[in-house]
Amino acid sequence: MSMDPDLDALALMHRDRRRAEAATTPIERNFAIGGHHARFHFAGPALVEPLTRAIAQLATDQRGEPDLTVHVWDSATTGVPLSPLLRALVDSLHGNPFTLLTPRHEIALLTNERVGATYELGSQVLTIYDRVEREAIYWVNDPDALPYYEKGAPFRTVLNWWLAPHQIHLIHAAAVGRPDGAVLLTGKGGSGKSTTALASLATSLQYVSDDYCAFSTASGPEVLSIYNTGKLRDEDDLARQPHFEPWVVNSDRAGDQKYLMYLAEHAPERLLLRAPLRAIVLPRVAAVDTPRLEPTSAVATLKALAPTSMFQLPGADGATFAHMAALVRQLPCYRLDCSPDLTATARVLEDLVADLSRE
Amino acid sequence: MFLQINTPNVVHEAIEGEVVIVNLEKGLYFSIDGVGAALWTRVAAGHSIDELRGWFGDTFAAADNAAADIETFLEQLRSNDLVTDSDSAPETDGTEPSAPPDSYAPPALEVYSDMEELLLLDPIHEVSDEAGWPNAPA
Repeated sequence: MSMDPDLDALALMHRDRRRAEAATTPIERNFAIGGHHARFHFAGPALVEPLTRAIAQLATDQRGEPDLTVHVWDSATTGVPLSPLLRALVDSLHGNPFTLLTPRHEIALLTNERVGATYELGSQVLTIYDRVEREAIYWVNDPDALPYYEKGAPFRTVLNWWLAPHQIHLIHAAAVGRPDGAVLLTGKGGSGKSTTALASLATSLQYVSDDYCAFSTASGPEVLSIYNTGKLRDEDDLARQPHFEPWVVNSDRAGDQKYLMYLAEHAPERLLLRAPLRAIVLPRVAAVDTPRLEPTSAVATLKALAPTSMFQLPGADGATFAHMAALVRQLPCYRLDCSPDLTATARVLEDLVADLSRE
Repeated sequence: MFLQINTPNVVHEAIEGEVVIVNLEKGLYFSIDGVGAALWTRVAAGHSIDELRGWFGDTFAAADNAAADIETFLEQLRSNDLVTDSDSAPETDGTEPSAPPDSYAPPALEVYSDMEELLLLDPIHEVSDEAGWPNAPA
C-alpha cells in the first residue's frame, strides 16, 4: 500500500491497465495536440477506431518522449475487470452519484492537486490523470456501449487537464477561418454554432471545429483544432444540408442523438489546424431574411462562452475564466443573426474573417 | 466580520462595469451590474462587512432604502453560496474596488440557470431550476 493514499487509486488503475495490456496486443498512436506530443497506448484494438477518428487530423509519426501518455483499456474485450476496490468505487458512484460526483463528474474523493479523476455515468468511463507524471488512464467498461458524444469528443477531460499548464484551454465553441485568421462561434446548444460551422464549408472558409476546440494564449490568441467531428441536430438540420448525409456515421441513431460525421475522412483539405483568433461571434437563429452581424459587448460574449465551457470541462478554474475574460476584452465581439439561408450566413463570416485578417 | 468568496468553486471577473460570477459547484452563473458590481468588487477586495455598509451608506446617502438594500443583496450572495461569513480578513485576488455608478438602483444579483442542456450528456442527472444541478430526485 502506498504511503500516499491519494496515489492508491492511481496505483490500482496502473496495475489494472498493465494486466489488460498483458492480455492483449498493445497498439500505440501518436498525436500532436496543440503542438504537444501525446502518446496513446491501447490495450487491444477495440477502442482504437472509436476514440481516434475524432482526432485523426492530429496524427503524427513523432517519436521520442511524449509530453502526455494515455493508457486506454476496456474490460469487455480484454476480459480484464476492474480490480475489486475500483469496482467497488464505480459501483458506489452509480449508487450515489449526487454525493460522490461533482456536477462536472469529478470524483471528489480522488481529486487533489496531483490527481484528477472523473467518472461518466452514462458512458461508464473512468479517467484518472497524474499531473506530475502527465500520465492518464482511461478505462471503458464496454466499447460497444460508448455513446456517440464520447466518440465525437474523446479524452476531452484529460486533454483539458494536460494542456492547461501550456496555456491552452479547451472551450465549447465552433471555429472557422483561414490560416491568417479565424473566428470563434460560441453560445449554448441550439444557437446555430454547428450548423453555421458546417455551412461555412460552402465558402472559402476552413473548418476548425463545431463543438470543442482550444484557444492558446501562449503567443497571441490562437485557435487550435482538437476534434474533426461535425454534428447536425436532427432530420431538419440534415435536410437543410443534405450533402452531408453520406458522411454521417450514425444514420440509425436513436432519436436523442445527433448526426455525427468525421470531416477528416471526407474533406481533410478543408480542416484548419490552427490560426490567429480575430473575433468571437455569438450566433443565434433569428427570423430574418438576411443574416445580420452587429457588434456586441465583451460581457455578453463572456457569458456566452465561459459558463458553457467551464461547466463541461473539469479542470477549468479561475485561471481559465481569467484567460477567457482576457480573450473577450482583446477581440472584437459580434452577434450574428442567422437567416434560413445558411450559405448567406456563412458568407457573412467569410467577409468578417477577410476584413479582420487584413488589418 | 468579513465575507469570504467561496473559491475555488466560485470564480468571478469584472468586465465593462459588470461582474460575471460562475459557481462551478452549483452549475449556476450570475451577473451583477451597477451598484452591485461596485459592492462586489469591494467584497473581493477584502473589505469588512462594516466597511461595506459604511461605504454604501456614505455613497448612496440619498437612497431611500440603502440600508435594507445592501442587507438584501449580501443575503442573496450568501444564499447562492457565493460568499461565507468569516471572522478573519479573507485572502484577496487583487481585485480593485470599482467606481460606483452615478445613479442609484438597488444592487441585484441576476441568476442564470440555463445550463441544464449540458447535462443531457449524462441523462442520469436531474436538475431543478431553483437549486441548480444536480440534485437527487425526491
